[in-house]
Amino acid sequence: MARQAHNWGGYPATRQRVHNIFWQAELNTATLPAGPLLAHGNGRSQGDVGLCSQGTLLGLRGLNRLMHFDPATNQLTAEAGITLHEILQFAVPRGLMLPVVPGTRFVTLGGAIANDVHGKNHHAPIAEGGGSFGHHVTAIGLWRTDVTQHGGHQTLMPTTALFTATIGGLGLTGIITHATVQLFPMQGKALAVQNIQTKTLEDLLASLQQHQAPYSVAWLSLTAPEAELGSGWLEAAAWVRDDATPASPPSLPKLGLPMPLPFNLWQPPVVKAFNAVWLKRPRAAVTQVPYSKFFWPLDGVANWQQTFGPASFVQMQAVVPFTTPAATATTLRRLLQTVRLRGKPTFLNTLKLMGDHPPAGLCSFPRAGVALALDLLFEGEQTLALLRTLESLVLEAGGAIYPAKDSALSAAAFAAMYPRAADFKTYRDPRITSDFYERATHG
Amino acid sequence: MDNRLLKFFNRPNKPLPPQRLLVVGATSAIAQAALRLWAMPGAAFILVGRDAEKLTAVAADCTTRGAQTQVIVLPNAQGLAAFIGPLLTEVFAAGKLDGALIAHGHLPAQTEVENDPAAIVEQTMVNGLSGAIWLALLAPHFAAQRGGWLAAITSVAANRGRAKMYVYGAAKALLAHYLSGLRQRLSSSGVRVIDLRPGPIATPMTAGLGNLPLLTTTAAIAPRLVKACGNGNHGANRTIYLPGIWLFIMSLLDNLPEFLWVKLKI
Repeated sequence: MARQAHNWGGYPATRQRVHNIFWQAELNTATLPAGPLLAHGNGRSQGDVGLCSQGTLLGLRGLNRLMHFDPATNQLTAEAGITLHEILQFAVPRGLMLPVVPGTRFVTLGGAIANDVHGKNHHAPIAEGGGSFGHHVTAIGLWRTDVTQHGGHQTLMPTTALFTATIGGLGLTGIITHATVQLFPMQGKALAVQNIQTKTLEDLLASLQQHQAPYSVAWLSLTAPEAELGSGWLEAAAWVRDDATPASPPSLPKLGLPMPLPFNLWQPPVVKAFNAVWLKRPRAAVTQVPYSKFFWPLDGVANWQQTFGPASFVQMQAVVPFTTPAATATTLRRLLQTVRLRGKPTFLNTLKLMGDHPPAGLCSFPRAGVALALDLLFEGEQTLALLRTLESLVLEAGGAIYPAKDSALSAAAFAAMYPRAADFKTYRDPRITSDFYERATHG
Repeated sequence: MDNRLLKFFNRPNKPLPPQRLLVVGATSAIAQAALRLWAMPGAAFILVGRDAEKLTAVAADCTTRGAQTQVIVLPNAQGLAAFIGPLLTEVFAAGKLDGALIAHGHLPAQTEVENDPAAIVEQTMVNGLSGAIWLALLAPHFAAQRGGWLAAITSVAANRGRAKMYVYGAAKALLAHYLSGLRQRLSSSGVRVIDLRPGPIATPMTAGLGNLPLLTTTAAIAPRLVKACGNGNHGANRTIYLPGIWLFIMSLLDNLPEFLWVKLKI
């Protein structure tokens, strides 16, 4: 429970004092500080969706209790500050798994709902655990500052408009106090990963379309020579069926950095070498990977962002529509070439297939297409200008940028990418705001 | 390093069997973190506290994890001894207890209590005497069942008086001294007595103190606490610092000459 909060990537560099909450009843307008409020979970958001520099952050990690589990339906109710890691400590030994997990399991339940996070199986059918996190939420506890009934606490059911606004609502419709999620039977302990080497973007997109495995992700290098843009690995994975004994829950990372490095490890030659090792090393056609290593490869090292030392990084994740491999490759090539020309990409950039599901929330980011995620070393105005260029390219392609990882989205772009943001405004809690929302609505 | 040596250091903790436990101050952050590890099908907890609503939330977490729970809401401090006696008779009539944890505490701002006699009495009661009363009434039952463990949470503030925290520290020192005496008394009956001595932990109790050195979380210390309490004969029977680094720090500070200690601004 941090006393001070900041984002994950280091830009914006805002550090804020946190007012920690330990019990749901402490959410009470009479006892909370005056001024704007915003819920803060485990601080894994990249940009400023989790910051509120004009007001007070409410640290919700203290709300981390389980509330109810129904073994008949496999629905678990827990307080919003519990991390997915903590949920898995309960679920995995019982042979259950969260259907949708993002690239880190150290996000809170409330944060996963507020950002409507997605995983490597977004394209899979919702009934089989695909879609976004919000598709598997069956109830949400919300506290609002402008409601007096029951001290402002209410439980929302999926049929209500406020429920839909809260999913992907960036925490602005109220403070999420608890939620019920649908757990799925865990099919095994490991995944059989098909490693498919790709040479070009067209090749990559065609393989992505062709290999309809439940889980898929492509890793590509942006430091490779121009002609090799799109070379990388597509991992198409499915569970290795094994119901003999339940798997063991993921453990806390054994490696970690107690403090930031005194220098930025990710200098261009290091990035190049890392990418070369990760992407050029030959791989077996099919490998068996333990589930925790497949879903959360970066969670093996605690505080890995501190390898950036005094430097900071920004991320950009965008979905662009997937029409044909050739047309989409052209869009992606324009984005990637812009980044190569004007930015310093760091390690690991990913491409994921996104399914054509009805969105779970009013302003959900996940939508049909391919999702490209980039990590960029932050170099001040130059990087912001690059992000603005990327924004216009994404907009032109009819795509959208992910608020949870964003540091630079403009008001005009936000309105265009999230056409229901105008409706969303009516569901907002008047006292809750974030630095992201201020920027993305007021320019 | 030799492979066998690596295995020795990384040996997994033997999973503990489910236990029947009494936890006083069950809504304290440290108690909650420990209960999360103790909770499993077959475990049974008697959760004692003052706030019925908070106790219900803690009990729900434990029952969701498969444990059976019973919630006891305490009356005001005045009737404490008169209330505990019959409660314990009832608890032990229902069966043996594997262990009891005394986890309640309150940390006031030193400047608010240091010149106020009534506050000093209250502090000594809350952080010291009440724990001793519980232990005094629990001890004969544990001695009679010839086994189990008694643990109480003290503090590194109990080791040596600091200008910033000596009222709290003195009350915890009372409890620590009591535990050490009780340990010797009960050693022949096979009852283990554990003094759990945490350094600064991020909890509601320390929320007002700003940034503290080596601040850690309840989740980080809970495995060590649970291992120390153990089960039956397996577990500690001494003072356990949480986290362990405080053993080294406090052994240095405990032995610092007084003329240097008085000059320290800590």
